[in-house]
Amino acid sequence: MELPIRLSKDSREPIYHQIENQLKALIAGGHLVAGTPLPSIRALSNDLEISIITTRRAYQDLEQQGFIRTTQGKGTFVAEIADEKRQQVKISSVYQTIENAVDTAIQYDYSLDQIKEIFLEIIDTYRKKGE
Amino acid sequence: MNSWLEITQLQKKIDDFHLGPINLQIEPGTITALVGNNGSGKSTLLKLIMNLANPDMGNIKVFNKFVYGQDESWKDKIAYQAQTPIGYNPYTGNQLKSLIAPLYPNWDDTLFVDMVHSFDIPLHKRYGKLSQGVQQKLNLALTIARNTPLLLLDEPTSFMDIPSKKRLVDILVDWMDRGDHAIIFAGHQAEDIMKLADYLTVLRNGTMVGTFEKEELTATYMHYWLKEPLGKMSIPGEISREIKQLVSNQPAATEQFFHENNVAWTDRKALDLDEIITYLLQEGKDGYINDGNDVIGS
Amino acid sequence: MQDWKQALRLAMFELHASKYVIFFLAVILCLALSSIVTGFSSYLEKNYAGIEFTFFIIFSAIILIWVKPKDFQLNQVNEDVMASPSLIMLHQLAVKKDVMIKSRFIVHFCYSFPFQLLFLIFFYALSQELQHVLPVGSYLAFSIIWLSFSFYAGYFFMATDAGTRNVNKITAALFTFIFAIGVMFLSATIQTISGHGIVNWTIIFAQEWPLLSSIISVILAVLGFSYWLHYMRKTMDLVDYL
Repeated sequence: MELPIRLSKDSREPIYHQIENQLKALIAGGHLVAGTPLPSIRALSNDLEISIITTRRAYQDLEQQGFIRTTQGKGTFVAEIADEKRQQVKISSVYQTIENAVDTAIQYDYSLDQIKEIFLEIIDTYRKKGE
Repeated sequence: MNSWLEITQLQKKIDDFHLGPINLQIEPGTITALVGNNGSGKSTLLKLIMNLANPDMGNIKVFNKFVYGQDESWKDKIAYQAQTPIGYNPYTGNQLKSLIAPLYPNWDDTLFVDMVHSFDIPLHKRYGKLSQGVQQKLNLALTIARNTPLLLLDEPTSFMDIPSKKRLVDILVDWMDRGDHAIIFAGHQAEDIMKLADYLTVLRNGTMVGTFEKEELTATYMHYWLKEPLGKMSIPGEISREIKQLVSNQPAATEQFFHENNVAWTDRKALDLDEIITYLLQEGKDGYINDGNDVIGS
Repeated sequence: MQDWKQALRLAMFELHASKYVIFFLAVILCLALSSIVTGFSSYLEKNYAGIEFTFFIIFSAIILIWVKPKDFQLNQVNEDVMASPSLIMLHQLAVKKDVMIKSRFIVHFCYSFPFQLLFLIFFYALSQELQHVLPVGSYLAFSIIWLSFSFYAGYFFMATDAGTRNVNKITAALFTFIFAIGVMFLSATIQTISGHGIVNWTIIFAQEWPLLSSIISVILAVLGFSYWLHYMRKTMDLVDYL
């Protein structure tokens, strides 16, 4: 099974962290329901063109945090997660995305006020679309 | 973790060529690529592991046995595919299979048959009459199906077309998942199969540059696009520069420097693996400091 | 025993794939017999020297170097080393060095021994002079002398399968050429000095001391043969098959 994971090698965020966050988002967002089998570490590494060391680290972290579980000899599956945790992931994922956007803007020498303006402008466009 | 292959301080001199000292450890579940230019000693290293030649110094242990020792029981735990096998020409694929299969206790006949079908290999034709590409495919089927813990492949895809290479990668990924296995392969830097590797062991004219985990490498090299042309300043980590571009192998130090000296940059991008390998293979480039002579506009 | 079984299994592949060698060997056998049977009486009477060379060729099994199909002949492994392609193939597989050596022995034996034995049988059957000179018992001793020679001298050519350092195609050809000249020179010298050729001497040994010469020959065969096996193992340990 191929997962819709997109890695950015240019990002400052370590690759294993990117995998972790995107998998969390897929699980919290309900795209991967509990019990769904996940690709093996080797298969995912091959899909993403990364080493198993990186993938293994992401899987280990996710298992520790209770997002996935590994059954000896059967493979890795999406775990049952509490609603509260689901919400937490959603919130932190939204925060993370906006933080990334702000980071990019700062890189292009925008001031915080300018960034705020852009943000409000985008919100406005969405609001208009909604009406 | 217990190493399946342990090479320590290995050295070998052949005429003017000097290989080593090489240090390398292979652990179960890993794929290691040997990278280097032609004549960098990749094949020699693999042959030394197979005890086809004697090292001048250092040790090679396969499953805790010295390969040049009296105990040759390690041999059926390791499958080796030479770049150009010798002695295969007079035999058909079927004959080669019945010669090789009984030598390996874990021979996987299903895998062999699958590979033969998937690569469309004629087994009734003599090896010498096959094209180089088909020879290579037959060889791979005869080698991988031995199903040994350790697999050594010397330039396994040099004569194969792109779809076949992709299929091979899938077969190897599958095989890795079906038990405790490890692969070492020698390959060209730009090859697709490089993507399969967890570790890269880089050889430059017989000297070992190092063994790197793949992401460790990709995180180490960054390409920056700058707003203004660079002056004569030397920049920590820089390994090459053009007017408004810079490649660094210490991105943290480079960015720190940019920040402190108010150098504005517009973009940064990680290097592709083959670009990184090119830098690693260029002699002296890893510690290269630009003197700024070729910089315009300072 | 397990080693021998595996060695035989591996040797069978080469024997099967190179079976046309038998055809060439048969041709050579016919040529050798016809020349030697017709030439034998003049050899005995006039000390005609050609017969030594024929014996040498047959019992050293040097012809195997030439009659084998190209795929089985000694081949350049690298600039300095020539070795048997079959041996190189086995070397890269899960085969013990001793099994490789045993399988080389089996191949060499299967191509040389029956051929040499047939030569001796037909020679005796076809040559009435020979029957006259050597009764069956003495001829048995004569046969043992020459078959033993094939072990202590002939298995040198098996040992070269393991490869020789600092040898390439040209030096190898030169070496065999010099070797052949040397043999002819040696037999001519022996003939001139002692008045009898080498074959004639072995006839005399077989006539006069059949038991003693047989025993000495067999001892030499055992010693020589084990030396070549040892030599082959040592070569394999030393040569770099790079």
